[in-house]
Amino acid sequence: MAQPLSSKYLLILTLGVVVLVLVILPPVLPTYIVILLSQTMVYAMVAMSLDVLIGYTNLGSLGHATYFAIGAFATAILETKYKAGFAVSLFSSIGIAAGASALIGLLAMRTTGIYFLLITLSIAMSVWGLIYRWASLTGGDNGISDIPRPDFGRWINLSGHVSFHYFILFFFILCLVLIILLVRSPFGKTLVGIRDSESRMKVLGYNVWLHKYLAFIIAGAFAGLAGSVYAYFNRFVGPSDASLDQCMEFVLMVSIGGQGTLIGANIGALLITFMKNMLSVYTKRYLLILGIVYVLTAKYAPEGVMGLIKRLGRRQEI
Amino acid sequence: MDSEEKRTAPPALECEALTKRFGGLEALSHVTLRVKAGERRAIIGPNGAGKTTFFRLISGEFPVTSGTIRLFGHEITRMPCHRRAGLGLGRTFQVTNLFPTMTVVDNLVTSSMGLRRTKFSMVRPLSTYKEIYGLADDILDRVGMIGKRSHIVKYLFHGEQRQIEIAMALISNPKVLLLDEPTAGLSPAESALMTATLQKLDPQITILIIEHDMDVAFNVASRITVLHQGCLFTEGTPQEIRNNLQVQQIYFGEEEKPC
Repeated sequence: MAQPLSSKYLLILTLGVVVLVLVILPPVLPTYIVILLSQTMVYAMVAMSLDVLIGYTNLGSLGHATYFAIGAFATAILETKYKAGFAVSLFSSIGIAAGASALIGLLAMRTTGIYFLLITLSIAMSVWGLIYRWASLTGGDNGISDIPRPDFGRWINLSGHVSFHYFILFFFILCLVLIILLVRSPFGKTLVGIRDSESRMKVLGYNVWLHKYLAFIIAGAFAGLAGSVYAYFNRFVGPSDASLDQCMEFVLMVSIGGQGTLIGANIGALLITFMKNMLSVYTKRYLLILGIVYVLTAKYAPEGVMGLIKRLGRRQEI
Repeated sequence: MDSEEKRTAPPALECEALTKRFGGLEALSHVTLRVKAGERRAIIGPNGAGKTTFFRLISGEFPVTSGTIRLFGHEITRMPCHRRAGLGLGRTFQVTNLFPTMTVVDNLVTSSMGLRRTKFSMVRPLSTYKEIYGLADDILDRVGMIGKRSHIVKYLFHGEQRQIEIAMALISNPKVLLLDEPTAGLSPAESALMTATLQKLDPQITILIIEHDMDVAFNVASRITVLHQGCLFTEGTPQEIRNNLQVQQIYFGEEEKPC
């Protein structure tokens, strides 16, 4: 029984590194790295919520950036136009994103499989178009800038990168804990059941549609939360946050990391965020490289990085 | 409704002129069938006779083209699948249909939640629901699979998977159980084991069983319905069916002499 032991060591080691990098080191790390780590955490929140759909429920939503963007724009608009303040903006953004996914879910959930992929994608593109054209509300191509950082009085100053890093870390851990609770709950198990066999779930008495629909709304709410945090972090939101690239990036994060594992979504978010930013220093065509990475993943590591790690672990045992 | 019909208990399952068409193909035509509560009914017939289609209509997986289905007197013809399960209709599949990535016990736990409100609980970890796990362990004990409780289902032997298939249908205490070829792909020894399992089931449960293995069908069922080319061919006790020359002809072929 060498395997559980070594995997336990690996887990503790990984956790140690993660705590070190995210909690202890930020004050001494270069600013650029801290910003990338913050960005990673925001994207990881979205990727985890998407993993609930793709990995746990087998609902391939290609338009998950939509709820992220809706959350981001809701916060941006509430903060800049209505001066709504942090708490109102945050909770409204979550609510609006959840509402949007409830509405879109009604349409999209009428289909399954490849049709579901296509309809989520086409609705996402419509929302992108709406953001792009509805300039009076969203600023159109210019987006919305100068979003104020949350203000918690004199003692907590969130204008610096490091302090905001910890602010994001709080929401990241919140999301992580809530999503882990979700997938381990009875409801989470029903999602895995639906992934494994819809026909069996139906004859067992599950209203499969309802479970998928609820999962879709919950994932949308988490993406909305991430979007809201992102608006505060980036202090600018634009149509590109709802773009096709952004949609695909989230899907890529989940599949490169390894779907249905949650850890995979985080690894994917880390890889994509760093790769994108590092590569774009050298080339404008980083999308091409991301594309190649995706093809290679699909061909040689369909279970992503997590799948590779598991396979390595098994080989060691032999 | 006259008073006489009210006094006698309604049949567990009642199908009237049940028809299913796939485009131009009539897979099932005007099948009328009554199964009393507690009865053990085998459905036999050669390949393509419409047996599985018949089950799928009863369970609600396929929409009915015409005809009616009643469960304990309630009409369920247009009711969605999951609500029929709520009325006490359980089903197993001919092609093993489990949750392959879950452990054995989780397969049963997921099955047992189908009719519980727990299925919507989103915060408390599933592993803390001791009562449901206890129930799952009981069923596993009954089908002799408790030793494999933490194994991932897809790595089990086919025979073991067939046992779980039955266990999953049993855990929510169905009143009417549709068994679609429980012995499919089993060795003669495993088949005998499965027959024993089926014979031990609670006599209160009404069972419809599709079976190709005549020994199983004749051992488990008290009445047998023969389907042929989508139509109800004949119905009778195992003895009557065994001696029915026409059944022998459609089922075993004209040349061969049946045992």
